[in-house]
Amino acid sequence: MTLATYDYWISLLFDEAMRNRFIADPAATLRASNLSEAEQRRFAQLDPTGLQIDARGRAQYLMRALCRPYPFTTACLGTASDVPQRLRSFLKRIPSVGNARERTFAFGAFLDELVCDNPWNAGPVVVELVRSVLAFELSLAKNAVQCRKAVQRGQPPAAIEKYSASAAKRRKLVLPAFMLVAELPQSFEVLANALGNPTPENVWDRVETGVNLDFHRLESVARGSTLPVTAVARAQILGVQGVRGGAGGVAPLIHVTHRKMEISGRNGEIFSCIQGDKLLSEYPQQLQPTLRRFLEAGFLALQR
Amino acid sequence: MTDQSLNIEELPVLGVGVSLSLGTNPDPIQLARQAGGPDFVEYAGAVDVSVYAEQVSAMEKQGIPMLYHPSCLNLCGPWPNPKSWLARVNHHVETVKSAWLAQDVSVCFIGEEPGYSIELGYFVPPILTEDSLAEAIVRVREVREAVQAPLLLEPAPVTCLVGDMPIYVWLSRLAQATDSGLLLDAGHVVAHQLALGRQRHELTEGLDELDWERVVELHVAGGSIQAHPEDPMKAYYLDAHDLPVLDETWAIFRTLLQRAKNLKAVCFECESSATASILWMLAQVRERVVQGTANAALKDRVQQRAGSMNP
Repeated sequence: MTLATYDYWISLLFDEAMRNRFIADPAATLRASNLSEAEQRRFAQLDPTGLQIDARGRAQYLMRALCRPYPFTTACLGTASDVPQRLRSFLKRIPSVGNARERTFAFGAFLDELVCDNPWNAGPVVVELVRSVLAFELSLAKNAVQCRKAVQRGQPPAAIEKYSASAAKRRKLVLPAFMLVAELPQSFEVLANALGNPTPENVWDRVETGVNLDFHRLESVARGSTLPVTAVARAQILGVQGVRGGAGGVAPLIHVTHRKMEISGRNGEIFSCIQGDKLLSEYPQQLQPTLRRFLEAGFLALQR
Repeated sequence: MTDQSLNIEELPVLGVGVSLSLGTNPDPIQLARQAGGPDFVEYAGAVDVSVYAEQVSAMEKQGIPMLYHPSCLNLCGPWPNPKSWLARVNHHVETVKSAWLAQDVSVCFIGEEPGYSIELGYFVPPILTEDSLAEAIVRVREVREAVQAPLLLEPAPVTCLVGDMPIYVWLSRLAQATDSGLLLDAGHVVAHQLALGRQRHELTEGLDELDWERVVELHVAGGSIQAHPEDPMKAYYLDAHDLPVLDETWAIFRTLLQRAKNLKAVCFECESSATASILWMLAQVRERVVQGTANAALKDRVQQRAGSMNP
């Protein structure tokens, strides 16, 4: 009955470009809509400042949530000009993207489009670096989703265990569930230094204000001579949290965190050789100290 | 309608409580154990009540009444509430023995898949027209038919309004048509008064259109008022539970207390606040309720509670 009217109302709240056109020239924007004349008259009475305040508050909350899984990618993009507005343009898709999970992946795909568009007008080495960072962050996000699904099925991932020396002698070495291994052209630590340590919690605010995000520092990381790394991450469940929004609104979130570690060099093959068919002592002698360290750090496990 | 009718006389008088998140600090269970703690705990949260099994059990053992205040129901707009979703809400309400269910009248999700209002950044407020009212009646009836507890309708906070019906008329007609009660948040009323163009000294005016008989619960919480960048006569209220309660909100709160003769509960919304400040604020709220409420039963309840806390 009121679908067109609510659709229009929601577009004004989520679509910044449309809202700006509406505020600049309400009559022309409303004439171009499918609304009846009576509905157009009602929207013409809308207080533009009140509309902006509502939309900005909503955008602030949603952008913080969207950027949270992609702190490094977002910070890299934040070194280019006009990026906050381009990132916010994703919000107009919110009404049509169903749940938070789909939204996270849709935003990841949107970030990839933006990176490939090269908003820095930089050399391909910058684009390639940021795409590799995004690929890793996207796999972390996917891993978190799989982990939450496992919890919902009643099969949460095992907690990181401390193994005794005798257990390591008796039980075969396996890769833990919900673990990721990726070879990256640069260390995240180097990138974190270059970008002023972006965090999931603060990255959107920093991108919006441009605080300490300098393209030349990002470019130095992309162009400079640094060692590639192998990044490993293992998902852990911290429990169920209420994610708070305005006016007391709360949504549940199974809180997944990743224990991470970086190893110098491209060493992914160390993990690909773990097939669950050997004891630690059956691996080559020179590899055993490394595998033991990974086992102690929780990036390898022992078969049950 | 197969649900419970709104028999206001039979609703329990709960006193003065708090809204908090279960399982996070400040811990409502610890708070309720303290002298001067809340008489009840109201919480927003997941539809799946099993998430809170531990906290619910602890509060039941302590005899703390719980009120579920979700943010996941469409109480207006064109998108229906799926029956399976409503069944889960009902299970939640029944499990915690919530005396009633209350929620802001808003769109919380768009399309067929249900969700929570924060996934839209905030509640999407209703369009205030006859057509939208008719549709909101359908949405509220969906909830009333599925949930075996009285429903209280709360006006969501706004900074702008769409539609030509006054919010208090629109809301009261929605409550009357669906046999629902009302929950008024003093800050949200400030927000509506400012959005209607009223100035700060006029905030208690124009509230006659509300169906005061149906007001069962009041909220009071912190917020901020933002001035219009050019028009000194215009301002906007923003809900913020981590900030202090404003004078404008206390003024409205006093008016609401005086007019709501069937008031059963007053809730101080204090997520993210420090425990010591919550207890102090609860004392402030109780004092104002005793001084101002038009409901003798509520006054007695709060006074008894205050008496039992004194040595």
